[in-house]
Amino acid sequence: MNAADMNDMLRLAGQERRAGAEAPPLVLSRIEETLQSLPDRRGMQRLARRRRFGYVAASLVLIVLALTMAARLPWVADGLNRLSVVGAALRGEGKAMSVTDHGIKLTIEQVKYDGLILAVDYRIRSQHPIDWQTGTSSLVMRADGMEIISMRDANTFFPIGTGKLTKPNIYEGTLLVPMTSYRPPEFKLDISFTKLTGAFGAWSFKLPVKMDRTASTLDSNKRVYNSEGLLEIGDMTFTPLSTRFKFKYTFSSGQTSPSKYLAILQLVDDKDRILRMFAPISTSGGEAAEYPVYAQAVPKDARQLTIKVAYIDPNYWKNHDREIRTVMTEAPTKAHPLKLPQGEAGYIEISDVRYLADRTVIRYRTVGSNPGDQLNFGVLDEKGVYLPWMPQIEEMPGLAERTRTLGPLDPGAPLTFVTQPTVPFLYPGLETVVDIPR
Amino acid sequence: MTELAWDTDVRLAADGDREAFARLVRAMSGEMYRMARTLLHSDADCADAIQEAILQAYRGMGKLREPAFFKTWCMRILIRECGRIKRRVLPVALPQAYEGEAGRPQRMPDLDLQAAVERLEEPLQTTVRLHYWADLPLERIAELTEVPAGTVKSRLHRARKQLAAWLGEGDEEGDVGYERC
Repeated sequence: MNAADMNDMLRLAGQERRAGAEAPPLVLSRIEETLQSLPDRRGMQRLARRRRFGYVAASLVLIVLALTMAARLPWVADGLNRLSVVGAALRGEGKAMSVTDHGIKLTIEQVKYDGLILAVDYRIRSQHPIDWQTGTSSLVMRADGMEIISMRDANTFFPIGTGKLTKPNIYEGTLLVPMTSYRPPEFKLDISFTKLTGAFGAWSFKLPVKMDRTASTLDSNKRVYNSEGLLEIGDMTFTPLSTRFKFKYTFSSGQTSPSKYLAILQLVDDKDRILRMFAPISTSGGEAAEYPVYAQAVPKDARQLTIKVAYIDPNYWKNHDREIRTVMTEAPTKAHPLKLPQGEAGYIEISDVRYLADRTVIRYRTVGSNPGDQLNFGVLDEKGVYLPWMPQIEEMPGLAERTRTLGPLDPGAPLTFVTQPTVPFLYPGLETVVDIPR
Repeated sequence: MTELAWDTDVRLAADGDREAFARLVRAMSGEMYRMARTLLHSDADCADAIQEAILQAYRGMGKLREPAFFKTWCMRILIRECGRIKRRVLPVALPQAYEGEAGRPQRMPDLDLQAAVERLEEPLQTTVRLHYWADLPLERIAELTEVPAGTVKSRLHRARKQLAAWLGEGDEEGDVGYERC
């Protein structure tokens, strides 16, 4: 083979490779995601300057320290042995890590990040039983020095995420943070609690986070329409932490007035569980635009997902901002449940209240058009004070029966349930089903 | 995008305007993908490389002195990033059968050309890919890889000679260049 043959072969191979080389959706969506997550560069530069200054100062301190210690090596070893780790910052290398302060040990078990959702699994172990009724927490999380969550004076047991008490002194949960404004492929995560289960202290972690690219993409590109409108669904991405796709909805001149209603999407799996949205998107009449949908991950046992259009009246709350109180006069049963009205959306059925030594379990289900919002209700004691719910792993919304738990109560004490009028969903009959790739 | 609009956006982007930077990247997205595809094996790797190149370019925009060099500068970053990703991926090994007895290469006319290009050492491999796969002329490759055009030419010559040795009977004949300048 001579040079001319080789040259021709290479040119031919090049032509074949270049044919049809249009950027695929995978690449285009990554470019868009990257562009949408670009941080403020001026802020980054300020941060870099501060870091440089910090490194220089830290280096100088280290040099002075090293020179001092070198002269006194026996003392150094002795001194190091006597150092205690209280409220210290740890550097993570992908393994579980812990910090103990005030007798409360906080362990970061695992950090997962799919390019949108950051999930931090953690465990709190306290020397004493955890007071979940009054023990609030204060937390700041940063990615590359930029604040992604700040709940400094949260008045809840845990400001974000979900979890449960596995023992009286152990709480296990997950912090869930949608990274909507800054989504780099990898970053340095700082987690800093200054208050945990009511105790002030310092529980800080610094750890590297890298995007897990495990994802299935479904080339769905579905279009469904009727006289009410046209729904268009783009490629769908399923990760262990989230479900993402783009949709466009165009109102038609059907029965429903687009000037009065907003269109939203509802995602329901084949077991009638509704996926929670991280950032719900609604679209009104006028020029239709494409919107991103960020929802929670589909459960592992789900096979299909139904994407439904629902209409809501955005002015509903203006006229329905009131409480509805229902007093429990007798123990509810499945045959004779206690109904808690929720306006046009429907109602809640309480089928059982079980008084146990350490807790009170309320069994209920929702009946109506908006199961997601209808899950909310409160309970007042005889003095008219709201009783706090015990922390528990949040179940997905749906029509299935479920439970919520209060602290221990006297079976004879009167209970008052509080609900609110809830916006009803109108379904214009536009939906499509997709098979979830596994 | 007109030249004036492009220049304006580059200056705005250098001044920290995110939207202007995004417009520039969107305008180059096809070219960036084709470049990445030239150097990498999978679309997932291409997406990784482009994403990292965008972030690096964005972070470094303040250092860009001449707007006219923006595209070249971005492509350089992308090529470097593709190289980094390629090093991370295991090299494609040729089957044992391609080695003759006593280690002498046998004549294998059906040896896949692409596998042979994979086997080339750097920087010969990237030069071949940029010239033949991406169809870039010598001057442009010289600009992107920051070496003289003569060096690009000699790299291509060495690469063809090596490929001919692997795929054919003997060495590339003569010193004639077949590249478009």
